[in-house]
Amino acid sequence: MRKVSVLIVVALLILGSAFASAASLPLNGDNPWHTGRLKGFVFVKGTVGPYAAIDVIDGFVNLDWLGYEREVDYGQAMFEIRSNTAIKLAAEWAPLTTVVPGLFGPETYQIATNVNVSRLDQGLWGMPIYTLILSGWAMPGGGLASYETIGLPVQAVDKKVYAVSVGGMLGDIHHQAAGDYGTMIKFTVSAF
Amino acid sequence: MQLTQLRSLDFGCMLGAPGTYSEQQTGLVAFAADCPVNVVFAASELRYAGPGFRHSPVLNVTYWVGTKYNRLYSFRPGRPLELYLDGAVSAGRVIELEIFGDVEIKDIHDQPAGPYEGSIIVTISAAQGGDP
Repeated sequence: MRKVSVLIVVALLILGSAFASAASLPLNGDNPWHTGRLKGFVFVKGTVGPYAAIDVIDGFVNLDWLGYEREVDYGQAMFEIRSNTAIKLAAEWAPLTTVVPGLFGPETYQIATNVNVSRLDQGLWGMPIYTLILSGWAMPGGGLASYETIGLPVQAVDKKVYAVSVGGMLGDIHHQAAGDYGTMIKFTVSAF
Repeated sequence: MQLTQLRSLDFGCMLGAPGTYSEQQTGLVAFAADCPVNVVFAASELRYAGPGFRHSPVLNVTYWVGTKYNRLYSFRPGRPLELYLDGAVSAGRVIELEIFGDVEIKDIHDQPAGPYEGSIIVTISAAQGGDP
């Protein structure tokens, strides 16, 4: 039995807002007329709003199962986040799902789906270090799984690459139909 | 010579995405002079004014004097502009010089979100040969 899942990573932009105000300046001194050199200051101001972007590097994961009980397979996708402020990351996904013809109409089957998100940091001598920041399961019949990073921001004013490990674990042989399964994982970045 | 008005230049809230952001409010220098003058515009860096950074990041900013689309007389931090005004100068007439600006954001993580502040020093002096 060969089952293939397709993962599409959705890039979202979270925009913040800020405000700015304007002001007029007083005139330069009390004496209205100068015969030498006049000097004045025009003040300049502006606010850069909080902003982040997700760029998908590799948005598809292919998984294969033979079909025996408790079989597990994992694959990996990658994306990059650029942000100008501290952010947190949320992920939402449904279990790997297929719909097949049944005796009394279409039947839906699902596979327990695990997602692990790790941030790629640079270690000594450029060695990659993966730090797990988000992990969870979507179980068959359990609907959408929603997870959000907790504790520290996942990054601040930075550009970081993230690895998404996606796995599917079969139940007993008869718990899922043979066929193609798929799901989509939605990632959302928001200000910390 | 007399300065009659100075108005701050305000970029307002910029989205933070890569792109070019124009001012929300132009700066203004208004003065009266009775002789030809030199006007020098010298800009400081438009520098991050929020907390949390030891070395304050700066924005890539360009200013110019004139009209919205005529950028002939431009200046930026470290590259001042000097204008010589004679024909426009006559006794009692107020000369207004409007200052425009563009901030260019090349990448999201090149600058932190938050407030940025800078200034433009405008120096007006009698031109050589002019009557002080």
